[in-house]
Amino acid sequence: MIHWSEDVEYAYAVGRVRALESKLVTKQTLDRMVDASDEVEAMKLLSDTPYGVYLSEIHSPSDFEKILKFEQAKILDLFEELCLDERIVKLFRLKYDVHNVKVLLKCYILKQDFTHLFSAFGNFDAEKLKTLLEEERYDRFPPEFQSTVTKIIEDYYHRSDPRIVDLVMDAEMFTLYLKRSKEIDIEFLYRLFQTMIDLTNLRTFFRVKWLKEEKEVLRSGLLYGGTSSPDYLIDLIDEPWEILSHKFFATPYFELIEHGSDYLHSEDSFVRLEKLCDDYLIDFLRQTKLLTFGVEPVVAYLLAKENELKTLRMVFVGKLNKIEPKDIKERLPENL
Amino acid sequence: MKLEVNPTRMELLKLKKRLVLAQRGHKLLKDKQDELMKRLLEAISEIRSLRQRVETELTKVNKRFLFAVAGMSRNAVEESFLLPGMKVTVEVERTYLMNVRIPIFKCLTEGKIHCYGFVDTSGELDASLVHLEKILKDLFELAAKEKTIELLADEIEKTRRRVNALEYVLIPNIEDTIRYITMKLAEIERSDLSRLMRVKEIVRAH
Repeated sequence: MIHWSEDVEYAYAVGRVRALESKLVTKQTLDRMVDASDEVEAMKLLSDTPYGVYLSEIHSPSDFEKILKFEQAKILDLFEELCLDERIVKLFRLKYDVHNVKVLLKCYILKQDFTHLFSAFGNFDAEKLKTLLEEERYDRFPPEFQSTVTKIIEDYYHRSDPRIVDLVMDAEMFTLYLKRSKEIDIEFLYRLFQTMIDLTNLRTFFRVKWLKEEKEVLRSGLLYGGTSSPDYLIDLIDEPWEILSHKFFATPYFELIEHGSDYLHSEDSFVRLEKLCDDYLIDFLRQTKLLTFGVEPVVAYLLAKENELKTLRMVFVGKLNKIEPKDIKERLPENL
Repeated sequence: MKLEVNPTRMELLKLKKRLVLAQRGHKLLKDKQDELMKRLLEAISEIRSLRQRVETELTKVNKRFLFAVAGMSRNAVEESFLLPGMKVTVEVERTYLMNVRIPIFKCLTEGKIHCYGFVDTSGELDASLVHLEKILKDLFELAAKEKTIELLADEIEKTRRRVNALEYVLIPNIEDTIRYITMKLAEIERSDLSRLMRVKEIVRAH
């Protein structure tokens, strides 16, 4: 059982979030969009949702990314406005910093300019970081990235493994998530990131197993700090597919693994496993539904909104590429 | 249409030799055209199943890739593929088929196709790349075979034009000219004979 923060200072924020939650795109709207005759019709169905205000700003449905970007900026601003602890806001902007540092490091290694890939949602100015990296003034880098950046550059020149940038940065990001959420002392946040680590580790485990990669690949891809030890997963990598789910019987992920791994093994498709992982996280966030105070419902709303953006992107990509509605629906989450 | 030549015995001999050569050339080219056509049809039937297989696999790869990247923002997708892990080199060799230079593409791969982390990417992306890697060899084989078909078709076209030129233009023209020269020479011979007879008559009258 999670110990909720129940901070009464969030009474207004929770009230506002509850009002906004009713405006989230519903499963019915998504189904209608998927069943629409074409992408233009699907786009029109958004006019009754909060996305309707952006429709006049785009020329065709292929510009849907613009809408999603506007909404993402809006939701991050709202989160900043509602969240009373600046450390939590910074925590949820951290992933954009990590993305920018990854781009920077790849630019540095390739000696090419990809600054158009920078995200504007991070805590730090990416252009400033770029100048620091070019001048090799690592000591002026944000402290959380200083040692990681030098480690990645050294390791890349020793091993020339292109994965190293992503693997080390992702591991660092989750270490920071856990460390900061512990400092902030909100159990929900800590448990949320632990769940994210567990789900990412499970996905990594099944991806490495399906690809028949070596144990070393799994070892380098697993994240530390989750509820189960990565060593347990490493030991299971050579086990046959049929008994894998039983090995997770005592964990809360048993059902997810049972259905997801069977489908992956029989159909060679990660669709079900990934959908079940997404659903698990949404269910975790649902625990905040009955709360009246605290930062938790605000965080849950931010993540629900990010999930909504991801789902809408999936629908538009499917419609624009004339993919069968049943194939699109198969990939959409059960609960929104 | 007869050729512009002098109606002499020398020209007649030359033309007869040219006619024999043209007829031999025509037969050879006709045989070449038939063989090329046979090879083309064989290549087409071979390529049909290969193309079908490649198209089916590519459709699967595309569909998986589309949904895999749909879960990520466009910038995140580009960022994931900035540092490629696999190097693909294509070696082009040439061989001859019925005197047509056809290519052989050899695809050499180095490194691993997966070049990104596990956090922001999906298993479907891995699967789509695995399938893409599997069909890479077939894709190059298909490209080489399609190029071969294109080159064979070009050669057939050229050969057909030559066969037609020999069959409907050069050989009939030479035959017409031979006929014309033969008639002309016969006429000259007849005219010589009648002139001689007339001269003989005049001589006898004196």
